[in-house]
Amino acid sequence: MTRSFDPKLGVYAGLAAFGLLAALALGLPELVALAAPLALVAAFDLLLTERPRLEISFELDRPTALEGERVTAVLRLAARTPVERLEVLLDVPPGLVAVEGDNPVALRLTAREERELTRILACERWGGYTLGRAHLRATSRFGLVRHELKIEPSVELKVYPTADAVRTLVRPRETQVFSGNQVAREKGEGIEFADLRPFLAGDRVRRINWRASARRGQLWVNESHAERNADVIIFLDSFTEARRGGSGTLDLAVKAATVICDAYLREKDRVGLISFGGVLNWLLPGSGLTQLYRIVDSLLDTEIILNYAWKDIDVLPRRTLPPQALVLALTPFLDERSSTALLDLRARGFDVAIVEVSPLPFAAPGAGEEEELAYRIWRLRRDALRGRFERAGVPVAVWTSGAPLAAPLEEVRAFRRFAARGRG
Amino acid sequence: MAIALAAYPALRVDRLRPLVALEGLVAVLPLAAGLVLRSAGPLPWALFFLGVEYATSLLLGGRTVDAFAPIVGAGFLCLAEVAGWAAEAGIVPDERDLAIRRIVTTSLATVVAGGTGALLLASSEFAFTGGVLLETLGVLAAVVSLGLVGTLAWRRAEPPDPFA
Repeated sequence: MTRSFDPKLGVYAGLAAFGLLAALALGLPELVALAAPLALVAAFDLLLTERPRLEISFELDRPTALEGERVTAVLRLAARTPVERLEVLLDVPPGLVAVEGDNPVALRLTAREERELTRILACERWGGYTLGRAHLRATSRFGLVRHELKIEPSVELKVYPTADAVRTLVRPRETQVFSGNQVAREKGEGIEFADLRPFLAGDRVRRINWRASARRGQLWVNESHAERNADVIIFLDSFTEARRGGSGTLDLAVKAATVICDAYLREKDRVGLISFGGVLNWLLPGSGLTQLYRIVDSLLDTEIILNYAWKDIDVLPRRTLPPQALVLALTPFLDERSSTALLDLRARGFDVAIVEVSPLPFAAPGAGEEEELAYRIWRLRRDALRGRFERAGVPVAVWTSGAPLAAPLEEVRAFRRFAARGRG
Repeated sequence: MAIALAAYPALRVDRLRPLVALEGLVAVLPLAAGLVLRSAGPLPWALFFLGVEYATSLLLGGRTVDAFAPIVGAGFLCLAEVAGWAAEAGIVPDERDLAIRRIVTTSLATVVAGGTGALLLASSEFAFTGGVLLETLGVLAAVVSLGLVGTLAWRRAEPPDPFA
């Protein structure tokens, strides 16, 4: 706890000194009556103010919340000595907003009094927050002497992003060996009809297609596609973002990644995460609810960290990109390094699909003619980059803020259906 | 209250009244500016010029002691407290009971200031007025006050106020 003096003390002492000197110099006793109260107040505050003794604790009603929800924060103060005026400011990090309760507030505590200050915080943006930093300032009766104390953060709050659920997902071209909900291209044990073939010794009787057998005069059996799982890698471009006000492309990308991961994991697929940006972050593919929590926790730590070092996919550990995995990229196409890495992945035979988180709503054209021209050139360059990906067989669907996420995913699916037909 | 404190010296003098009134106006302007801008910066200047205006009126008023000086002193303190409070109002809102306590404290301080002023003024009427010992004591008090101001002025710059 640090002790300091309010500027008012200097003013009072200065005016008192000036008044007393003037009274002496001019021989005016009335000026003493003017200056003495100020000197008395200053002396009273300096002599009678004691160091406050406070016990402080902070807690939240829950450690996790969804975007848009509200959490209750309670700051408990217990005074061992009386505090004439205690100003309390709870530091609310950006992304959270104090909606109920005055912040800061001034209150008075008597000796051995305990108070609870309750603040309702609205979670406006996903992310991991450390709460509990508070500034406390105890001031004397006339506010001339103050004791300040800073409480460091102690409680963590995780705010998870929310977004619309998606029903249709982009299906990987290839499946893996474990059972899942995807219909594999290979034939095997399953319920999805694939083909007919003549009966062979060892075939199960229940697989015989009696109608086909009757027509052909010999036994024919049904073949089916196996139900397998798939590996999906979410490639999150976190090199840079376009941001305006409280929203930006990274927010949208993180929300989309959360929803997509959740949907794939529900389908029993293995999902991995690569956050490709200033700081490289990855999670090996896994399945189940635990993996979802791991991914979401990892996404909460995602932030834009400026880095000018060149990065390509060689920096990624081999195990993060299993063979035959679908790489679903979420990128605003604002950094050349991420687009180069994606093209590189495609060149190495990975199944790549891209959802472009459009930065256009966050980047308005300038007012002047030159700015408008620059804006148009920038858009043309983006179109050209999109065309480059499409020529490489990579679907690129643009997702604009406000539109449902299902729309670009359906666009990617349509592109892949069309491309498959084209190849056939 | 500021207007009353500024008007009183102008009303009690017979000569150079416009000059004293001008001093009062000079005192009220920074006060108004401070209250409008919610800044405590100009307030010391307002108090300083009010004091100068009162001193001018005393010099012009002759050798008779102003019997209302304790009231002026009390008003001076009350104005300083209330103006400071008004300038910082809204930055950190007070709880209701704290605001009431502050009003009571300021009122009591005003009354005590008036009483102290009256006591000092009455003591100045006694025979020992103007003694060397008393004058030395006065100079000493003024020097201690100035020393306090100097110490405060030389303090190193503090970090930005988180409450501001």
